[in-house]
Amino acid sequence: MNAALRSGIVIACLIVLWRAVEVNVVLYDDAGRPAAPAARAGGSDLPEREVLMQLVRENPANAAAYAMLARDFEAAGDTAAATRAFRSARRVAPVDHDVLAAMADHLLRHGEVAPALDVLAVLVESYSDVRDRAFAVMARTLASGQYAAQWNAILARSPPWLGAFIESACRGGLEATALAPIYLQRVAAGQASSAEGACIVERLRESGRWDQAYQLWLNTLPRERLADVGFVFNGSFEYAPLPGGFDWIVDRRTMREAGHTADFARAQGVAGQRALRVVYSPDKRQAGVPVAQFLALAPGRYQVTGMAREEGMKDGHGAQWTLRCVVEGKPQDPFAQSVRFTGSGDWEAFSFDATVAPGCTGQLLQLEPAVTGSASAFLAGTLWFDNLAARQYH
Amino acid sequence: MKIDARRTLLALAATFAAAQPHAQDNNGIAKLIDLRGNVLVSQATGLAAGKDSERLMDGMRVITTSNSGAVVQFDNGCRVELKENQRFEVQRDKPCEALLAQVESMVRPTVVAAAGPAPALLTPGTAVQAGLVGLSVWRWRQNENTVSPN
Repeated sequence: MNAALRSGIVIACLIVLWRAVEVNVVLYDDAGRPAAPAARAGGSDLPEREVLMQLVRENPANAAAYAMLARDFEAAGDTAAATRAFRSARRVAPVDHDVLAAMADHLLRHGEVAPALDVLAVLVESYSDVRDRAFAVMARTLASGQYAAQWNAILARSPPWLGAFIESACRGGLEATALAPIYLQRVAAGQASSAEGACIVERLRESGRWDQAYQLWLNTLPRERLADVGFVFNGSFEYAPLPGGFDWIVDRRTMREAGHTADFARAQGVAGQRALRVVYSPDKRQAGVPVAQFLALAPGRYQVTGMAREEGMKDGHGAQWTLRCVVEGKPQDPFAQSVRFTGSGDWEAFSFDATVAPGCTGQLLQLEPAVTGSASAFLAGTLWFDNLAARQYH
Repeated sequence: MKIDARRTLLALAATFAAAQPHAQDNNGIAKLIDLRGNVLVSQATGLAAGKDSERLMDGMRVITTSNSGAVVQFDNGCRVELKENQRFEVQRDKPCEALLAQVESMVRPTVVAAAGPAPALLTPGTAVQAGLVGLSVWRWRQNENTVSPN
């Protein structure tokens, strides 16, 4: 008797289990998302649709059933009914991942971009895993310029994902000119991050829009740093360089990797507290430039000035400051250079003249080995610099 | 002797009169007023923060940033107002209308082309990479301006 009862229970359990598996196979795909009913060749899906309708009638809060129903309508070519079903699904599950993704997909597929953008905005706000793909689509809607109302509404809300969107869209190659107004709006609201600004400034600079890049960069500076921007920014090396833009670009590689190190170190005998220190390894060939800064000088004649101190610079050629035009993101041959810094000595002033030609809208000021005909150099010793500035001749 | 003294006085007066325009030059041709937020003025060594009532000379640039603004009040009465993210170069011998037209907006959303296809789908493996190429673009000062901000 007991054995018969046990067998009955096991059989009943197996039947229930099988039914559950069967229902799941019908309702969900392999990834666990609500599955679309398979379209039947040349005919309607009435039986399956009836099942879904029944599910919805039994439980009006069944968002998955609504979503599947929507896909069923869509497969049958009834777009309006599909949209209505998705709306119902969203009404009962306003932040459901799968409903939102499927609805956005549906709307985009049928050219309903504006409502799709609203759905995507909710989706990326709630789920970070879809951001990469959703941001790519959203970036295109921004670039199109056709959905200003939706974007203005998004900007007015200033959702927390906006910074990530700007970074993503910028890295993804969206025209920086499309992102700049949004970024500036965020700057004005005190919500922008330096990473967003750095990316847009870089993109503008790379595309030759130096004046816009410079203007945008100015907006990223804290108020106290605007007091004395100068042609050479942070030429006293008192502040840690800000990422991107027109501040110093310091090579952060190790001595072992680059053959040099550069930092803004405390120093005696100079104005302020700090100076630029560049140490060259005697055991390693130098590769790259330890420190550089993009400039945006107007055409004209300038005098670049500074203070320098050498400590045991053994290499005969030494190092020197150069100025190069940057065209299409690439530094050209130097059009001006300082004296070479070699040997040892106390702090001493140096200067050199530079003429910026028309058309040279962006420049690069960098400290580089004074070698000719070779891509690398052997330098050893330490160089100190302070109070770098440029003055325009009138 | 009297003639010499008169000549000396005349020479001094002439020198003084001749020096007047030059003195005016050194003192600028306009001043910066009604400053709001971060306003920058080009100096011999580059941009620096502008000050209220600062005298502006021929060729100087005034640049505003976000949430900022200023007025360039010319000595001849012309008044040029700068809103946020604008740029203006102080220039002498220009009619006021020309000066007003010279204010340059660094941020200006404009629509530059016609509509195209609908945007790409969200579904992976479909038309995500397609779409919207060649559409109108909300651009930021589209014209290729090669003038340096400095």
